[in-house]
Amino acid sequence: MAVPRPSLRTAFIGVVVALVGLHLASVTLAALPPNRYSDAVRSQTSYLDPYFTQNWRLFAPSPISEDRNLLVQAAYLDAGGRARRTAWIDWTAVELDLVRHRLVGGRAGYVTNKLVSPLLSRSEALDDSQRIVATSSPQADPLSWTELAEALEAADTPATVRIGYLRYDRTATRLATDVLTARYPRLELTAVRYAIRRQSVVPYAARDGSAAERRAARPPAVRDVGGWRRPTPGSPAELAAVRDFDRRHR
Amino acid sequence: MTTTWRNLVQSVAEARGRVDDWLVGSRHATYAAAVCRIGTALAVLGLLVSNFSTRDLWVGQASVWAEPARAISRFPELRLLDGVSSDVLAFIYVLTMAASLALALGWHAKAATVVTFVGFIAIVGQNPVVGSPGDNLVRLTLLWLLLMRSADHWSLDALRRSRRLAAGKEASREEDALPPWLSSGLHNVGLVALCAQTVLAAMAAGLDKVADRGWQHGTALYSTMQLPESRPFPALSDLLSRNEVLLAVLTYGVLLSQLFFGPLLLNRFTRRFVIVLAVLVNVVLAVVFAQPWSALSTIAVTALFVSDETWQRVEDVVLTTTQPAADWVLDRGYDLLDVADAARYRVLLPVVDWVRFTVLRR
Repeated sequence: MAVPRPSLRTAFIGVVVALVGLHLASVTLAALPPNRYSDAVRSQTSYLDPYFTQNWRLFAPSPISEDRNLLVQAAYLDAGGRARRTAWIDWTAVELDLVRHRLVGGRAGYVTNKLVSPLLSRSEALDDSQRIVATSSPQADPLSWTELAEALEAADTPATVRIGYLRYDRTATRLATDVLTARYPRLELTAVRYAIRRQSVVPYAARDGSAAERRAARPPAVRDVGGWRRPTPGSPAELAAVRDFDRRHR
Repeated sequence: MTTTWRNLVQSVAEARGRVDDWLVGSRHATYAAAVCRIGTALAVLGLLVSNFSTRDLWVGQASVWAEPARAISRFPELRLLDGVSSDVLAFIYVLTMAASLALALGWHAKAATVVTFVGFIAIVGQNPVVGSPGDNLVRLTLLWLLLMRSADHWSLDALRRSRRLAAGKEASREEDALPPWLSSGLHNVGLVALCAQTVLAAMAAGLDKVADRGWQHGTALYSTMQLPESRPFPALSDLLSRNEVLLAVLTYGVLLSQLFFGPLLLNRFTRRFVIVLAVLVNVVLAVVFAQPWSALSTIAVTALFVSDETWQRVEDVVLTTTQPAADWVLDRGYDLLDVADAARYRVLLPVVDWVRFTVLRR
């Protein structure tokens, strides 16, 4: 004969066992690769977001197999009033100094590296004519953000695509402005732009070659150059942090 | 029929009794919980310390490029650092580091867990762009540790408790706020949930990998090792990626330790194998990809599956081997105290007396 238990304890055990069982079932459904069953109960498992969110992919489901760099360039007027361009700055390479030869690196070492994917996907959401609008803003007199938004709207860019693209484009432009201002503090920038450089890694079959052979085996790099934008600087604190980082890691 | 019914009722009652005893009778895996607390806290502390100098770029005012991703994040803790100055960020950052250190030492562990949990989400969540899966694991571990009594061993709390008990005082007011059965029940619930979460984490990661073409072809680790951000030590990455055997061993090691982590835990001998394998794989990946904190947080939860008897044996071995060194350190500590005491009597007190009797008297 079971010993009678205090009612509070019994209630606790009953509730806890039921709750934990249900929760673990929800977590299991959310943790497994997406399927029709987990999709069917998505509203019931939505409470898992954000605290119980699971993103266990220790590497992305499809591991990236290409280098991704963000480069920035500015236009300015020289002493004679002639339009000039700075050299391209590979900001991703500057950041990577925080990773190279360090067992304990810093997360600031691969920010633009990770930023490139969403930036690229927003840009790829534009169709050909919309992309021409986005990239053809002139160096001498770049479009303002409002003008660019209106031009994209006139090119029938759906609102979600337009907003997503402008959000990331503006972010990258602000970063470009900060970096270029930090590197060329005496220049008065008239326009800035960024480029995304991608190059696949050395093919697996070519991994045993010499350094030169491996370099030669890599597919050529692809470079997507964005349109000219008006310099969009961040706050003085933001600029100071970028300048400090550039000084230490360039 | 009646006999069958009676047997059934009796079995259900016995099962309920066993669940009851297991759940609220006593706390389980308290040593393992202590290891998990220490490992997770050190992972948080390490992450924060190693990013301290670039905190403004990572999560502060200069983390402009994280804004689009941050805007869709749903953690309310993010508001703590929303648009704050560098000084406020530094304050919350240091506070979270202090809390994680306190958690590692087991100093007011429950309060330290709360502060570390909130601070960790507030800081790390500011920049989801560079977040790692290890962040999810740390968040969930800290969440379940909130329910658990993780400072029963190897902590300053435990030291204080044993001293108070030796002095005939009550153990601890804050820890005895709940009735013992409820405290134990919550600990055990947290333990079960955290263990289940860990098994699911490993299984989900393994399933994702076997469904991927790169892993099926055995080139996933190779490709990752070629990326500039994932090859901090190019010579080491090249050594591994040129050696097909090493690459195969590592690839199978990762897959085995994740995909079969749960099933292999069921048997005593395979459990030892898979725990050792998981730890080794994480150590190798920590070095090759320079992800020590993510690996440490995974090792911390893997430690939950090591039995308390084993941890007690580890404790005995460590105590026995470090006893002479600990004694020496203690002796030197006492020597230092003696020197300080002598200095107090020979220098400080005469100066104080001189000031009192000559300067102040006037």
